[in-house]
Amino acid sequence: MLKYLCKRILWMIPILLGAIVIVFSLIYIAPGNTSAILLGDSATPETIAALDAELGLDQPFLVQLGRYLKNLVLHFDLGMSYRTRRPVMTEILTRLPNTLKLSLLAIVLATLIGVVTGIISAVKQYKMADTVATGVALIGVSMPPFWLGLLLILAFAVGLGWLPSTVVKGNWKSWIMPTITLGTAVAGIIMRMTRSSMLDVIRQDYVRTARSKGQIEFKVIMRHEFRNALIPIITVIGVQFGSLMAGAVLCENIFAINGIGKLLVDSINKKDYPCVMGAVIFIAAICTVINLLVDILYSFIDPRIKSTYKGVKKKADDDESEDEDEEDADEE
Amino acid sequence: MPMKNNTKEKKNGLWAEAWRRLRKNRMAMIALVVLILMVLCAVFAPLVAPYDYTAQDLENKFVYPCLAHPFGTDNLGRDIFSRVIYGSRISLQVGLIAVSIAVVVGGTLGAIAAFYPKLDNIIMRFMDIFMAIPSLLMAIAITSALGSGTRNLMIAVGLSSMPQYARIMRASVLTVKDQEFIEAASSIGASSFRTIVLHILPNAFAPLLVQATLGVGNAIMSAATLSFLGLGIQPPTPEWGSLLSTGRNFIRQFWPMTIFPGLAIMLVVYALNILGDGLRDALDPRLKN
Amino acid sequence: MSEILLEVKDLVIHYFTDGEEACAVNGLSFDLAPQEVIGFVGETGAGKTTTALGIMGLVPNPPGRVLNGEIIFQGKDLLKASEAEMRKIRGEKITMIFQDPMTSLNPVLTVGDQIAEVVLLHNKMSKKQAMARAMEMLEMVGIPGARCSEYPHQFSGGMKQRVVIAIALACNPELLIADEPTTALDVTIQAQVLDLMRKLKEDLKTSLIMITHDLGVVAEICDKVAVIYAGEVVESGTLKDIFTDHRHPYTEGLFASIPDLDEDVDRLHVIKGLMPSPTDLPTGCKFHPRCPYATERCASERPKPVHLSDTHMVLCPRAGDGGAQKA
Repeated sequence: MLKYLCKRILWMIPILLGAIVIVFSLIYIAPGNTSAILLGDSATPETIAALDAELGLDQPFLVQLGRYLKNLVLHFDLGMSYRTRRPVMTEILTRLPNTLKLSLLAIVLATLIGVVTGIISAVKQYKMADTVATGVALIGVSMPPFWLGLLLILAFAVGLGWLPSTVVKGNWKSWIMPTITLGTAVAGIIMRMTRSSMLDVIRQDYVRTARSKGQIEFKVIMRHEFRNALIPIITVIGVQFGSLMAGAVLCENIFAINGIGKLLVDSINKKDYPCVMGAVIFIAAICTVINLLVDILYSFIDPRIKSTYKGVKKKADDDESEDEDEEDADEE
Repeated sequence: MPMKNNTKEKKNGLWAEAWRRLRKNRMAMIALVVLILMVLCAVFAPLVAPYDYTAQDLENKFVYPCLAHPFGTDNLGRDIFSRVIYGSRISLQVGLIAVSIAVVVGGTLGAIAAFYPKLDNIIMRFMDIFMAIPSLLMAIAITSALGSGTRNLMIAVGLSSMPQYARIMRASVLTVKDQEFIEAASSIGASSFRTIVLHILPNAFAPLLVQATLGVGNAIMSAATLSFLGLGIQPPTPEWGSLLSTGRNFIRQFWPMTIFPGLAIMLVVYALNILGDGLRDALDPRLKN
Repeated sequence: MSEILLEVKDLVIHYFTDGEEACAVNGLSFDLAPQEVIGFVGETGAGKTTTALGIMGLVPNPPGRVLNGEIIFQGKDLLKASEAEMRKIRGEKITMIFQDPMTSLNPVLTVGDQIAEVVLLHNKMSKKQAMARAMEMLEMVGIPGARCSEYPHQFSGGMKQRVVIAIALACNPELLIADEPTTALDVTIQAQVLDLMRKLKEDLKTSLIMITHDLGVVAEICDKVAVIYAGEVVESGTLKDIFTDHRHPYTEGLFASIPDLDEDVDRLHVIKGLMPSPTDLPTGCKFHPRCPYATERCASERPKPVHLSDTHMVLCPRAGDGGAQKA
């Protein structure tokens, strides 16, 4: 297990480095002369050249990339924001709590709703409840999140006046609409995955064994069906947390939340490229860490995975060959 | 070549069977009809739209939905219905082309990875890296590199969703490659190119089709999202996302500008999702519970 | 006649799918005394498993439905029992071993947990005591108790079936239903598991319904036999009745298909034709399309049971006048 863990953590490094290189290259080819934009009216060929030299923009691509990586790895430094002249890392970290709060609220809401309705839907397959739940979930998935946010504002802020249309510090009510906006689509996705994963296990023999023990239906569902259906559900929650961090970009924009997403869009509009790069890399790093956590979680859910990691399989005492199919530990 | 005829018949049979199953799925058929209608609307927009989508009428701005203007008029007195109809041209086009880019690039990379084990590791690790960045963020990064505009939007949305297609293509080619009839085909001396074209591609087609159907919906949504953020298509071009972005400014005074473009997006994406689910069930009955 | 533990009368179970009606069990009857072992013999799809699920109250609904009949267990009709009452009976009074041990155990729970689960459900005891009982049961089926905390994937097929047996016997049931408990296992393991079952049945004084298509298994372990064809008992009797004096043409066919080591034959005898589809059963005697002695009457008229003795019943009009054997 420990060995697997180390391997898995080491594997994160090339992934993250690769992601940084991709983002850096994309920003490098971005149009427009940064120094000229920064200087605005006071731009002359001389001042531009001076600023280029100051920012290191006159150096070749590889040198710039190398310096960027060196600063990031050694000093945890993502460079300086052109706009505010403060370290990008500071800009991000001051906004991180808002983004994290929003994403966590949304993923908790989505998981609760998605998993519960998914289970009910699978247990009541083809009944009324199932038809309604799958239909609603698909609407949730098909609705553009930003539009949902606008609709909520229209209904609850403009129409009814119950909730503030922007997030206000210290007002928990102002977080309700952003959470729903961000969580709805993910709830739909989690619900659909829960349902199909439950349907896969619901007809397994061991479920029948559990019933034949005289187990009550609720426990049959939770202990025997749901626990076995969990892996794909956890996977999708992990993946969705990533897209949720990205979705926060929109949500923060609509509800004027001062988070990393808002920083990102503002920075793009102001051509503050270090900030853009920093924000994208930071979110990608969080997503990679979450993927790792999900992978580790697997082995706690499914003992078969743990033993494939260990690499040692207890030899069965009987004189017959092992013919059970090994669970594929690959995280496809 | 009796063998070729056999597989060909088998293939035709498979598609006919899938179509038969799909026809039985009432929701999927409704979705298909809705989609066809929307595509027709987009193609024949000048005939369908009652007004010129750029025609301003400052006397009649912020008109609520009525007979003359079914969706009302916007802040410049332009007919919202006409703008949504013309918008479907852009949104559907962006969705389709973006997915085509993703399928071609991703599919090719996936197929190469499956055929040449030496390249497999490199390509798939690259995909892993690509996927570490959430696709919406990737699209944002690409648009900020390329700049806004319809063409760049398509490229951004297409490239950001490309790894999924690479994975699907790779997986289905690998499965088919191991199947007996491929071995049989190569054992009777069929060249590897023939094998690919005749046997592997048709088999990989089904999962790609399903994913692409669902993908067009996602692409339309991503494109609208980027435009909404001001990173994609800019107003006054009537793309659905940019219509919403304009509508948002008037959300406190005038709701039709916010409601109708969003409804259009939802309708298309919903129909595509239902059709995609239906196709998956029809093409692979084992998956259906 | 001694007292009766279980009596099944005229059980009818059909499955309804896609507008089709599959007649899995059609008026099946039998009875069983305490500590007795009855063997259900028949081909795959004859309705043996459905009957067993019917007794357990576990016929999947939808698509299955019990349409008629009585299942009287210790004087009580199980078909009229509430779900809560059935839960008390299931796992404690009546237990079942399913066909495939590979898939019968929950992969994410330890075997100890899975045995303790049934113990806890039917006994008032602490989790610790239940775990101790689970270890005891494992020892009883020949697995070291220490392996309690292992997961099913760490066991081989034969060991898994032993665990399944341990679960089934953990609460000292009155009746154990074993649905082809050895078919999925290797031949050498089959004998071990069968021996184990026979020993435990003796020790625990449990009645047993042994579902199998293997007449060898029947001869080894059963007191009585019911030959089942298309959801009906076509012949039933004591082991001796069936093995030495079978009268139904189907039973005859089953015995003829066993290779005889003393005799040199070029080909095995087989019963011609296939088991009829349960969605499209023949009229009259359900066996007549495959029966070498079928007359026109067989095609139109349902045969009536012929009782040759207290124990021996045959569902064939020919049984009365001489029997299939002499024909």
